[in-house]
Amino acid sequence: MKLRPVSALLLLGLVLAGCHKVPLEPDTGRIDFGVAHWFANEQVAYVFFSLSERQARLIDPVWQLSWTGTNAAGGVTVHPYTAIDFSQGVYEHSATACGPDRICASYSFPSDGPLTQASLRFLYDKNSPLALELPLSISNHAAGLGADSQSALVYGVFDEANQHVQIRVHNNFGTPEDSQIAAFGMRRRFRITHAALQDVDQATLEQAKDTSGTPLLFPAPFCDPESTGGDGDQIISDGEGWLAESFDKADSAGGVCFTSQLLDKHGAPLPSGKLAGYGRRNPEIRDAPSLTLTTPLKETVQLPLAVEICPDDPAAGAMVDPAFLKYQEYILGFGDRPADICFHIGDETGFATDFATLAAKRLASAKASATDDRDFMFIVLLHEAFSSEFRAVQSAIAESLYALADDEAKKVSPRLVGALVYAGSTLYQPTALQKRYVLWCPQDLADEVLQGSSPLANQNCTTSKASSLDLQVINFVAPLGPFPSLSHYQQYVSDFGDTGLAHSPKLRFLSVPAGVSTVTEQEDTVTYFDNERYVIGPGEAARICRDRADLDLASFRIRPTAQDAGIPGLKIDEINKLWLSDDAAGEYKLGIAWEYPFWGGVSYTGALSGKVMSIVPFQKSFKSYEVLGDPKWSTASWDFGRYVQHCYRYCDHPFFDAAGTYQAQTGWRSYDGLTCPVSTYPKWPGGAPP
Amino acid sequence: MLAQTACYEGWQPPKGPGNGPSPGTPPSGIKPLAYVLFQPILMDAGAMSDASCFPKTGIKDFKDAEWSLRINAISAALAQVADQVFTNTVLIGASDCDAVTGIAAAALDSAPWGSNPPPTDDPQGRPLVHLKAAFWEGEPTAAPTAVETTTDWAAWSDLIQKGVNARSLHYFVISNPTNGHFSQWESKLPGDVELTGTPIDTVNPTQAGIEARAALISSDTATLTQWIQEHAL
Repeated sequence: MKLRPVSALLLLGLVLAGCHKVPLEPDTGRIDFGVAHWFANEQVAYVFFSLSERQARLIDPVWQLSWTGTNAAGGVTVHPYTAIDFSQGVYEHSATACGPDRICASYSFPSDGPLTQASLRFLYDKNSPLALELPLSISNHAAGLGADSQSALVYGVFDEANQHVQIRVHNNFGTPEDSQIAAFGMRRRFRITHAALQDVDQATLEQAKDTSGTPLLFPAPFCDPESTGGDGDQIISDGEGWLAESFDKADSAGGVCFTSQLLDKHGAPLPSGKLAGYGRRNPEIRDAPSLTLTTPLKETVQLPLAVEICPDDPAAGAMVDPAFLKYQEYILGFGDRPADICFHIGDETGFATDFATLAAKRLASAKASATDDRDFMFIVLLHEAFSSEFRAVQSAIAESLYALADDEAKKVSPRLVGALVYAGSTLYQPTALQKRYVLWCPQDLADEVLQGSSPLANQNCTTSKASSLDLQVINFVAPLGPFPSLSHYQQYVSDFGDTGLAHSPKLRFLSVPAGVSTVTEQEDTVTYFDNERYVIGPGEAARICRDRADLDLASFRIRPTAQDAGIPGLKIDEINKLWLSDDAAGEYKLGIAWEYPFWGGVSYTGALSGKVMSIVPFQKSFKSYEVLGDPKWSTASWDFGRYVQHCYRYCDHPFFDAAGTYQAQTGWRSYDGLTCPVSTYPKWPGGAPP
Repeated sequence: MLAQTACYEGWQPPKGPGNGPSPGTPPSGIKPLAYVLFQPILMDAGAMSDASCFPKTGIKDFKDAEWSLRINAISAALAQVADQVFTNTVLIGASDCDAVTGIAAAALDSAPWGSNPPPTDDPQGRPLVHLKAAFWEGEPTAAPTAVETTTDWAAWSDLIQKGVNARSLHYFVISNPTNGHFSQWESKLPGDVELTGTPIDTVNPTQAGIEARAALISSDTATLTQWIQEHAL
């Protein structure tokens, strides 16, 4: 082929750029894994190994094993390479494919003494000298009653009903792991006999963990391996099998003792003899019963206060927008109420004094004429058009209202619970303290709201721009919210007229009653509900499910019914420590912590106006509602139970996780995850054992 | 390899010498004043926040902004007509807001330019100007002292005695005057060395008020700058 000059240059460039030296390596297979174990209890040696090689190269392959061991008499026996006959193992063995171009195999043989050396040889063809060799890693396991001396740990688990027992075998070689044994082609059988319920206290179980050295409690020192009681005699293989017996659920015994014997492939017991195993019943866990806490809110009495610039102030002409004033009066339900108090520019100090005096006087008068225990809310109309350099009037109002409400906070109803102020702009922001009682409207949506850590009031009565949407076919104007700023109001009316303004407003506020059930705990105000109690019985436990967290959950508090009122209740993140302890039993009050003592809103009718196809007038009215105050109280009731998982029995026992994995290391009570475990249990197949 | 040239439609090279003055540059030629020491006299932040010094707490931010804007505008305008302009403010604290002894002390100060370069005789004979400017809401009740009402304060008096072409001028912006300290001070000065700015006696607290204030300051500053040039030469 003839290369054109450009192609030739390109090829040369590629060669120069991409050429680098690659070391040559022999392309042969290898024995990539080989270990040997010897267990004194069984007097059996196990070998696990694997080969990586292309299948096509295996002509008539042979595995050979050589080993050196110590016999019972203390002598050394040397066994030169001999072909492995897999049919001659103590247990059933086979070589199986365990991956692409990979073969895994195992073998077992009797040995009355520990191994000192072992090697594997693999012949590609029994008639060829081509071979691979690998010295084996050896682990000798001394005789004993601990788990380390057992090649298999036999334990039981229960089904969801806690009535049927599945026997499981944990292959205890360490290397290879339990889950890999099947791939190495080994199959062992166990005889399970004398299964019987036996109650074992938690202290004994904990002690047994230390004695046996395994959370699977095998061998179980508190069960008698020579027991002649109980039922059943069956063989299990392949790692697990169900017992035919059903165990009485009414019997509170926490588990089942059984006797296990490891058998060779012919069914003869190994020298390890009879060992006792134990299966623990599952923790009896359920979601807590539904506990409905009903909101304690009551309607409040509204105390109106209208504030404007004094008519004789030289700036009055610039500070009054008659149309917006009318709108403010309308939305707050003030009618044509004359101003209750006015301010002069330059005499803000005098105004602060006068306003505080007036508010206190109004409150005192309202209390004097109260006929029931409904609380009070100041509804303040502040008509102003201040620029950003003027905040003294607003500050005086916010501070006076805060001081009054804060003073009232610890009094019994009827009392002042807070105030709503509807001013003319978003320029003034109350302090964090003032926001506890004073809801200042309108407000811009503050940046911290978007960051998710905002005071709740920032989400209230946000001013809404008169947005205009153009959907090609329908041009329409979104209505204003009920609390527009003066500038938004003016812009809207200028652009669209008054057809989208809120109509038929109804302002309503409710308050949390003050009484013995509402207490101040640390920095929180908490109302404990009188109608519900949570009860944890002796031996029981409960867990708050943090994975079901929402705004409501964070607000809950609990306190023991008998606890001194001076001791704060427990917050959500403190409850588990008590409810998962041995001291959990008892009766608990349930409460909810809140930030604002009031909740309410304004219902109104809005109107969507615009034109279809740019010419046909279109208008649609709708009912709407703007929430004001602590949105927590918008919930009529709370179901506390949905956040709690309750354990009735066997709370210290291991549990199954959602994937069906038996968490043998961790009891349900000591599990420290944030979630409440949702168990997937092994399913009893029913009828005769498979 | 060709050098790249960055250019885009509409771009014009800056005009060099010979292409005429670019917009915004001062008129060519020598500035009429060699040196100006500008000494605003006003309350410090502590006094402004003290209701006994500044009772109209509601207009504090407005007045703060007004005086700050006035001082900045005057400084900028003077820089257009003088080679060197230095500002050294006389701040009156809360404990001195009624007696205003700080003004008398400033009048006796031998180096009122502070850490700035002192005035020196201009080789071209142009005047060195000392502009004292009082910005206040209402007035302190204490009468002004003789040293304060002297046209040439100590340091400038020394310059003049040395034959330097130096001038002392006064500027007063007193909102809601009460015939107190500043009114009396102003009345004791010859008419050709003092100018009264346009005070904002009635504050309009709306956005329109802020815009009107900006327009007023601009106008007042232009008037002051023109007056200084006329009375310093």
